[in-house]
Parts: sequence; structure tokens; C-alpha cells
Amino acid sequence: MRAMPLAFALLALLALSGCGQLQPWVKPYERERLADRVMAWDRDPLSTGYIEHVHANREDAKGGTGSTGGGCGCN
Amino acid sequence: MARMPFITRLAGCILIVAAACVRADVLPDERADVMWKLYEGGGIKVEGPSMLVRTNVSDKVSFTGGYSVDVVTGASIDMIVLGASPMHEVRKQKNFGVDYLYGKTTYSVGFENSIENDYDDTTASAGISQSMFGDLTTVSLSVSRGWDIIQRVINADGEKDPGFRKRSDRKTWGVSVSQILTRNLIGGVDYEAITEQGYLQNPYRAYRYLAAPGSALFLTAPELYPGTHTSNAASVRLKYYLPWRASLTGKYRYFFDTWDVRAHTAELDYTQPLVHDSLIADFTYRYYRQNSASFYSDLFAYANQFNYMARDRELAAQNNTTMGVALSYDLVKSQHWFIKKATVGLHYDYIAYHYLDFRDASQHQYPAGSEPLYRYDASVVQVLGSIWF
Repeated sequence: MRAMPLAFALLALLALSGCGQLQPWVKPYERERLADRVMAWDRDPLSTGYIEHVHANREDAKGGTGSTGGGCGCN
Repeated sequence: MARMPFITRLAGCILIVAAACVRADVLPDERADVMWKLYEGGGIKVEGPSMLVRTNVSDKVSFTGGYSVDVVTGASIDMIVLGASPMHEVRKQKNFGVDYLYGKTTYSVGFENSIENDYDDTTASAGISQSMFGDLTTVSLSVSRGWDIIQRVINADGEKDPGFRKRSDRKTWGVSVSQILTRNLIGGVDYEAITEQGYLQNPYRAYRYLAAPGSALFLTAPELYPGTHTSNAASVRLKYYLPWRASLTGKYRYFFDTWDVRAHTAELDYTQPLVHDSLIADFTYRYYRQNSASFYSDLFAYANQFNYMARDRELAAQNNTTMGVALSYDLVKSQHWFIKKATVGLHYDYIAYHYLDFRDASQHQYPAGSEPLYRYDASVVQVLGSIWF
């Protein structure tokens, strides 16, 4: 686990190494459909956070979906 | 190599990403959400309000604040088996966060506190998000640190055991990449590692063991958990714009931890606008399965059989299926006074839990270890109201 921040830093460096060189293959004027609200990852953050809390408190698997913290309320 | 302090490592990550190419980006929308939610299943009912507000004080700084209350009543299968009286407890959670936008980089810090009468959880988090490659790619890094205090209530008046006060600490590291793939397709990958250390068990829960070799009866004793736990979750997601203006989302997550649990989660979502775009309907199907932890057993042969012994159904082999429908209706679609948009929503999720090695020990007519496998259904209802301003 100690190597985790270093791994993040390396990943960030790799990701940024091509910055300014790679040309976007989907131009801004071609993103009309992607800007439509039906394509939003999370339209209701309050609802998404709650349903993830419901699942996380009844399953061993946690994380990897962007939510952290919070008590249980689930004895 | 000497270990760097946590904050130094975080600062290192932030500085590296901040070196990226810089152009202006925008902060998230200013909005306020209120919700009333209900969870009912397995003998437990949890209900209460939640709210979340995001406001921008300039084009660079955004604040978020949230507050939530859960009122928990009822008796779970564990409490029935142990003969505990039904509970009535309240959990209050508050969170606060700040986002600072500089060019294409968003820096975030957050704080969250959750309090129950016997559990206090405080979490501090920080993150950085960088948009790059002509905004085709967004890379986000996050870290958090949590401190939990666990106490034990000893009677119906809520009096706590003065000699029982335990702690556990938690660290998380997350990385997420969102990617525009085509004019109709976006995707993302996420990874999160969580390490926990300290008192990781429930102070009330017990494992059960045979009263004597060959006996049909069982006795109970307090669970024994390891003092450390490390878990990893990796997920991939894709969202596709369908030709008739709808979207289809697929998600998959693989989870593994140092307690030998492996879990798979698959989800399919469909989003469809209706009624001249005033109503949006979301349909969700989610499937989850996991194997049991290495120190879990429904029925141990005798007391203190192993160093670590648990009968928490969260650690049992299980699968569950969620089916959900969500409707969101636009009340206000254009600027009206200070409101840019307003919606109301109703969400319903049905969850069916099936346990594969956790038995219903409340059914005393069966010999210990021969009871039917435990299963139950749960309903989750959410009523939401949102305004954008």
C-alpha cells in the first residue's frame, strides 16, 4: 500500500506525457449527443450516494465507484 | 526508503498533475437537492431526510454541504437469534467540501462525519481531477483517511459500556479515468484500494457453535476478527447513446480482499426521455455475488475453534439482484425568478438477497446446521426534489 501514491504519480505522468501532442478524435462540435442529459454518469448524486450506501452495508465489496466514508446504520 | 508523511505523498501527486497543460474549464452546476428515503427489509426499517447543496462563490471556487438523518428501527435476524430487543437508533451524517478550479484542474477537499449512539465515523478526503487531450480524457485521483470510534450500548436506555471504546482507522486511494470514445460512446475505469486497521467487527454480533459433538443445539460467543483488512475494487463502465435519444449503460466491478472474498458486480441501466422531454425514466438491473470470507462459518464445531471466527452475513457467500425504476419530472425548464430548472423524482428499487451458507437460525424446529438458508427481500424508496440556481 505504501507504493500506491507513487503508482498514482507514475500513472499521472504517463497520462500527461502526451499532453499537447495527441489530437482529439472527437471534435468539440461532434459532442452534442454526449452533452445530452441522458448521457450524464450521475444525474442525481444524492440518490446515487444513498443506493451505494445501501449496497455497501450489506455486501463485503466496497469502493471503486467513487463514494467513501459514512457510518453503517445497518446492525 | 523512509516513509513519507501522508500529506507529502498527496501533495506530490497534486503537483505532478498540476503540471499539465492549462486552459479554462467550468465548475459543476449550482444546485440544491432534498430527498426522503426509505429502506425496508430483513426486519429493519431505515428512513429519513437528506439534503445536498452546491454553490459557487466565483468561477473558480465551489462549496458543497450535505446533511442526512437515518432513523433505524426493527430487529435483524442476528438480533432475533441472540434474543436482543428491537432497536431504535438515529444516525446523523454531515459533509462539507470545497472545489477549486485552476485551468483544467479541479482540486477538492472534503470532510464527513457520521454519528450514531455507538459509532462515530470521521473521514477527510482530497482529490484532483484533470481534463486533458482536448477534453477527451479526465483523470481523477483521490485519497481519504477515516477514523472510527466504536462503543457498545448495554441497555434499552442507550447507556454505554464505560469500559468499551475501540478504534479503527481507514485509508483509501482511488484513481478514475473517464474517456470520450466516439461521438456516441463514453467509458471509464476506476480503481480503489482501502486499508482498515483496528477493531473491525460488530461489538454485538456472535458466531455460533455446536453445544456438543453431534448435538442439535447451538451456543453463541462473541466474534473474533483480524485487526487488518485490505481490499481492492476495479471497475469498467460504458455508456452508449442510442439512435432514438436514449442511453444504455453497462458496468462491471471486480473486488478482492485479504479476507479471501472475491466479488463480482454487473449492472445494466437504460435511460429514456418521455413526454416531450419533460420526464426521464431510468431502469436498472444489478447483479452481485461473492464467496465467503476465510474465517466465516455458519456453524463452528466448538468454541474457539480458530483464531478468527465470524458469522456476519456480510461475509457469507451470497448473491443479490436489484431491479429499479426512477422517474424524474421537470417542473421548471427555463429561468423563473432565481431558479434555472427544477425537478421532482421518485425512485424505487427492489433487492432480493440470497445467502448460500448463512442459515436462518431463528427456526428452532430444525437441528443446528440444518435450518433453511436465509433469504429476504428489501425495498428502497427515494422521493427527490432538485433546483438549479
